[in-house]
Amino acid sequence: MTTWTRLVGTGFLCGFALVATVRGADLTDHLKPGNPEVKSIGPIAFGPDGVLFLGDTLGAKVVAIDTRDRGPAASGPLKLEGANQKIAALLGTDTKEVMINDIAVNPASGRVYLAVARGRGPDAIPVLMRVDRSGQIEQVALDRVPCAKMALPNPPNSGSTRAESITDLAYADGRLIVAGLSNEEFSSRLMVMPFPFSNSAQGTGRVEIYHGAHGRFETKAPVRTFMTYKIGGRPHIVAAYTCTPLVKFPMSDLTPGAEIKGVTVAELGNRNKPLDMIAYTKGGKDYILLANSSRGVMKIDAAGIDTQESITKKIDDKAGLKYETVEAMKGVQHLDKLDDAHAVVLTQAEDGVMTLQSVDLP
Amino acid sequence: MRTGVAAFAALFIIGCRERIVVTSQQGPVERISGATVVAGEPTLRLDHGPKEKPRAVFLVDGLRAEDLEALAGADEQALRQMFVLRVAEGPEDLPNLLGHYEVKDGSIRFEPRFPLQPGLRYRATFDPTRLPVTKATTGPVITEFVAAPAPEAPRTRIDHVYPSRDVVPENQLKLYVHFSAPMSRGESYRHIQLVNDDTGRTIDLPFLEIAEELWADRQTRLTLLFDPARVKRGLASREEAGPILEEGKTYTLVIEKAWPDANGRALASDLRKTFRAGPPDNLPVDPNEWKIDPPRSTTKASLVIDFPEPLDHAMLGRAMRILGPDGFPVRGSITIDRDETRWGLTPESPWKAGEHALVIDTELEDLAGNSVGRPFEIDIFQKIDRTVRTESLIRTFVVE
Repeated sequence: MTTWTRLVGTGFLCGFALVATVRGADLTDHLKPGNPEVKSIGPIAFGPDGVLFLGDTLGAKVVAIDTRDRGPAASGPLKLEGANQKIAALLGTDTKEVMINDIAVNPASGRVYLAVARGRGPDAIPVLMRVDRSGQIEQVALDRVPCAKMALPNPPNSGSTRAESITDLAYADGRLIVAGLSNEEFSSRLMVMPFPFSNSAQGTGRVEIYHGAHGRFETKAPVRTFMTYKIGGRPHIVAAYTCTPLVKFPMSDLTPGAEIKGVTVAELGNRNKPLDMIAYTKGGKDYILLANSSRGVMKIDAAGIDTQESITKKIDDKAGLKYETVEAMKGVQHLDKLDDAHAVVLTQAEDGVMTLQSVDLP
Repeated sequence: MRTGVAAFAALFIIGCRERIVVTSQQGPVERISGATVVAGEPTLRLDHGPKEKPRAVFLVDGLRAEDLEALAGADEQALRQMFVLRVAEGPEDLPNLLGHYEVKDGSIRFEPRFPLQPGLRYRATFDPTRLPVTKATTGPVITEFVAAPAPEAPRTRIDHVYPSRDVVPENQLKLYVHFSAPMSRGESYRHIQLVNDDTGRTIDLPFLEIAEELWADRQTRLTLLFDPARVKRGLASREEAGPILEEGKTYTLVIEKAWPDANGRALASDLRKTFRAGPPDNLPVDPNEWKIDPPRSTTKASLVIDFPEPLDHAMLGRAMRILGPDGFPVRGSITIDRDETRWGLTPESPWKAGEHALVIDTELEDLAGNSVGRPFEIDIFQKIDRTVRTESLIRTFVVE
């Protein structure tokens, strides 16, 4: 049983301040019906109880909604060919006017949720879609949904041109972790938000990573994608940075103002942009699957991630945990874990046509 | 802006086996031309709603009263099967538009959930054999409609690229590209190249590619970050892939006009901006080196501050403010000129005599990302609170 201390943030239209302590509560209990008024939907991630977190860069906030999608968990393969064409058709627009910004699987139901922008201009309409195993696509209405919102720290002043682009987010153990990057001052941040959202200060630690050369520790490197991962029974963040150190640090270290030293557990090669990352177990062994822009999909042997010493020496290209490139996975744009034996990938062919499909975990 | 040509044209019609309906349209509400709506002869129509608040609705007119009465109590699924709306382009197996059906004012109505896409073709198909009362013997009525193209507008231009100078430090951190109108998101990096003029080669992946891209001001300003892994000294990427800019060499930023703006139209022209890389700048911004030229009191002359090096254009617009002798901010308009080496404030009201304070947010950066009192190469991670907590530095000056 979990004890949640509730400090729900001052909401906007949904999720108003409430302070209570509930034992064994459901994560959706504090969400209030309303319209989260998202201006964009970028990265998305599921928590338990069908709660979906949406990163809204244009709205300078993150949003939690109750999808009311609690299963039962589906099984069987999923294949949706021409995913972008079909979504465009449903939304009454041209395929080139549809962007699929992220995908996330609801672990409770096995449905795949897609963060979509209808349009590419400043008035693009954010749309949340979901796909079931039969390939049926539907829109998830956001106009009256149990929800809560949380503004990003340091929201831009009126008239300011500053914005914080959300590069990824993940939920674990009562906390939502958000990686962001400003379009003006150079700062790459990890923001930690207690969930249910709290109105109190959102702490973030100083996160140092070692970046494979010359004894330099870095805190400004932009986090591209990350996940929460239990290592030795303790929840950790495993984060992939540009060019491509893989870094772990315990979530317990992420307290306001704390200085955290990440452990660089692998250097996976330069000139690369990590896209999405999942963890899984196969044949009793632990692996991490990492989709990349130019180095394909990597299957990383996670054995030893608990004992891997930090790479603190200059390296030529690769070091630390070993990986192999999964040749069968080409053109992967987004990746998430579908169930214990499958991932779901959104791939794009050279002609631009996208396919959403389940694949066996390698 | 409406031209002589109808803004919305109902188009050509697709012949169906037994009936061809020819429609044309001269206004925002489609009218049947050369045909009279006759009860029992269904015709399809697109109503765009009032001009000030467009709201597209596809309608089936010309239905008998007894059919309408029977359909009024039918569920939406029956209407959905009878009257099908879809995008007319693309593969045949595409799903129908999302939207809402109802029977109202003598018509079957379908209102799409999303606005029509300018210039896109839509196909409406009505199957009269599914009418509940009338025993139709004709085939489906099919009409295609094209949504009005986006209004004519001047081609979008690239107004400026900051920094303005043609010499930048070799550890230049970012560029700002300003456009005259909103641009499209999603394929920016594909249309931007950086060419090493000495070799003629295009540099591979010079910029940090962020999925959402770093836009501001309704997508009229794009921030391009040079990949910091190739700017910072001592990082593997810089050592292996080489730094992006090297002192003494010349580079050209090329932005292709094929890059579509928010309305899908190409830019007015390509942009080529040539600049030379100078020595690296690893020193923090030091406001003590700034020259402040105070105006005379009782005038509305500009306060002018000169910097020994160019500073970040975007941050200059918000990172400095002046407090008057009473401690309140001096309101006015800011100018940034001389290649971002000069900042000016022209007050709304005449200057008051006395000591003024220049308040500088310490996050203000120079071209290489060095901020006030803090060089880029040293990383300091700060606690982030919900409230704005920007450290400030104050310099005072006297207005006489």
